Amino acid sequence: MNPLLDIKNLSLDIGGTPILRDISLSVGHGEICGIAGESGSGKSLTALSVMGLLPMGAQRRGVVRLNGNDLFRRSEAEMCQIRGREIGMIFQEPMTALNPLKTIGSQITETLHTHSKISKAEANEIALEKLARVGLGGGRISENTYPHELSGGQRQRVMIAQAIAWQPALLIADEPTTALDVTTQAGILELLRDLVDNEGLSIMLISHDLAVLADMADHVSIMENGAIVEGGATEPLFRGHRHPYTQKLFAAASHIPIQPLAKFREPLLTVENLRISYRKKSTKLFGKATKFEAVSDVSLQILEGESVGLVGESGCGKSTLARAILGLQPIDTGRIELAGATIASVNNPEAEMRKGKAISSPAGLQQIVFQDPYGSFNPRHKVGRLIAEPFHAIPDAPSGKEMVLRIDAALEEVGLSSTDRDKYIHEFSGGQRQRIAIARALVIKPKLILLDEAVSALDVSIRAQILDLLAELRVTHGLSYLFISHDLSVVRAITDRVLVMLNGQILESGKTSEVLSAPHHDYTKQLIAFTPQIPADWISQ
Amino acid sequence: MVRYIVTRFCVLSVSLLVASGIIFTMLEVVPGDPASFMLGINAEADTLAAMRRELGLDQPMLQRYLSWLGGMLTGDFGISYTYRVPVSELVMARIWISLPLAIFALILSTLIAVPAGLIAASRRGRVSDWTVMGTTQLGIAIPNFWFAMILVSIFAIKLRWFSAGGFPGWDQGFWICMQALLLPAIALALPQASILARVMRSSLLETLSQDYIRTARAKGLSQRRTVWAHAFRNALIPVLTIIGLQFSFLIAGAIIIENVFFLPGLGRLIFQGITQRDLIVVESVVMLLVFAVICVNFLVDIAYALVDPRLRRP
Repeated sequence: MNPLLDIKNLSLDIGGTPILRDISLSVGHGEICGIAGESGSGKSLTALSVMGLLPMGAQRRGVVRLNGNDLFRRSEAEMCQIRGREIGMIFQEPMTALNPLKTIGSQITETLHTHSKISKAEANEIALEKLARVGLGGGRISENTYPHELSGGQRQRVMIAQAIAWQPALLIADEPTTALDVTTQAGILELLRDLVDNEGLSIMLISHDLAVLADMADHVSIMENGAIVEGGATEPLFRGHRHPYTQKLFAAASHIPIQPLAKFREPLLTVENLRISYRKKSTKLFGKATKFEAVSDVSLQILEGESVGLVGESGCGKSTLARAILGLQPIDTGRIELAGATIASVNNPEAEMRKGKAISSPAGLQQIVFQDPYGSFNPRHKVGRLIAEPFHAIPDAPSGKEMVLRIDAALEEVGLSSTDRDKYIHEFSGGQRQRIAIARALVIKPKLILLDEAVSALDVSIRAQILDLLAELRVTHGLSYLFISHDLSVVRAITDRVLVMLNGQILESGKTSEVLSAPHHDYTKQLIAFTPQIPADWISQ
Repeated sequence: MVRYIVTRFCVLSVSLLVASGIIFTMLEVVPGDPASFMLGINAEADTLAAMRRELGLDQPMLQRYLSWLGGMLTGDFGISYTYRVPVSELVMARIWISLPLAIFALILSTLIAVPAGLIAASRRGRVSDWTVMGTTQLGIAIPNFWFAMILVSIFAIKLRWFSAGGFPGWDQGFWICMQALLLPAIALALPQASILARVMRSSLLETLSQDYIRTARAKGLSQRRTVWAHAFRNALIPVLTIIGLQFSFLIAGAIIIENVFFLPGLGRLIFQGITQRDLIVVESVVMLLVFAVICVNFLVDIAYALVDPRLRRP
């Protein structure tokens, strides 16, 4: 039987620059075909070439057949009939992929109305049926809901509902779970698997996460620089990957930096009975504002030179806790002490309330590195000035030549050179930017660095390098880390101890290896069970 | 939605109160005594005093403010110092020129700008885009009074299609009046339309690069359908803001155009009021304009909520 989708020698140029070279792959009926690779390898553009939704100035060659129908020979009008009807597509960002001004029901029925003249009532009926199919039925989610009223996972389900509304034979899923929490991701992957098993859907699944593909795909193609370097059935490929790039990718994905010997002395950070709440405005007229407790009664300690992981899904209070430790967040009650200095302390909330919530931040003991290496720098300042910024926080800040020397030293420590000082941030890659962010944190010699999803946006090979750098800096400077992440594999790689957080509370804490191998709490067990993993016997050889 | 409207309404009321206070105080500190202005420089001291008493200028400031405010709430704007007729009469006679002119100009500007912006954005980088961008650049650069004079010299003097100025009055019939307002409205609308078209274009371009546009295309909508069904309404949100600001400008800022076309509008009334120290006229008209501006902003806020469910159902 012919494959459903057959791509032969697909090449793509955009504005004269070659982007894809000789891509050949096929998706069989009822199969999940995985495409792996790092950002910029051409995964998404391969998918968009199939859909015929390429940017202006794109030139594609080769043959793409869907059920024997040569897609490159179809006119734009004919392609409109194929998109949504024969091929559905879902994307990475469920937050922005739905129109914020239209109800989810109308966005699902739109797929139906675009391809046939069915009545409103009929379309509505199908929309409700599809909402139920993706797990949003039973009156829990009305079709009159707007996207902003849904969670990320629910939005991704709506995306799937509108993509499969016409029952296309092929679904292209471009990083469908990358922006989601582990538990939510598990639900979406299960739904996709169910659609394949029970409705004969075929999926072209694009992901940078090898573990997701190991779990889902029947066969996988590995892409690098616009070409497929290796491909084949998933298990043999994962067991015996031969191409040097594939080997590099697998090594980086499971990379564990060499850890310093654990010898911790004094407590560095002490958080006691911390409570932080937000006021939530009522949506009703004259309704009372409600209190939402983001952090409730949290106590924790980080020792000098210790690396502690903080895991939990989005909205669990991780970031609020981090802000409080940085001294940026007013607290309700509790105490935060860092290296003997009090960052925040509120004992009697009634009395403190009248004065306004107390915050103070001791000079330069703690610094932070954020997730987004693109958004966390002012693009109009030179790197030297960006790195010098934290000097404002310390009383004995160096100036003139001495300051320049300190900046250069910080740059060299993160593997950049002093010539980078006069460049602008756009001249650097994502990994280099994250190095600059670390240099900025390092320059005032802090005791504690908070790493808020600091490697989540990076490709696996870059992530491995940054993890190595962090491990090395920890030894040379005796640094402590609070490593906030939803990615358990990274936490496993770099932390000594781990805290598991849910609904503003710390459920479980202990040595990372122990908690992750023998979790006590049900939530931790669930978290670990839902984290996709490459089966151990596939890699142990 | 109810909560949103009530909050907006409270903001409106407070803004009005604050604005009235500021307007009153500013005119108090401006030099120039209305009484001496009315009686001329040779007036006797006791005549002046009598005049001031008659006008109520001898009372304490707070009391005058409160009675001014109270009067306005009951529709009594006081009596003009110079014309000796109720201010409300003066305003009423003129507002029926200024308001229709502003609305007319705004409709023209929107009718020109929205399609122009749409065409420019959906044909980005092509001839039609360049044409729209070039024309709007010109429209912003040309002073509107100069453009108004060109319009008069072509359409009124050479071709004799329209009269060169003046206003016949609404009792002469709707179409005759609209004819008299057409040239001034075009002159007012041109720069506004140019700005609005550019806002529309950039807003639409921004919207077209959003993820949900790609989603719509992946569902099988054509480029054109996508623009209409998804991009247009989202792109309208910033355009609404500008339309609100422009209406405020058009209703108050038409002084020069009113002068070019000899239209007895609010702009001219306020101009005369200032030169003649007719404080009560100035105060009342300025307050009225502030009221109009704040009301328009209120309406724009409501329009936001109608367009954007995130405001309606937070």
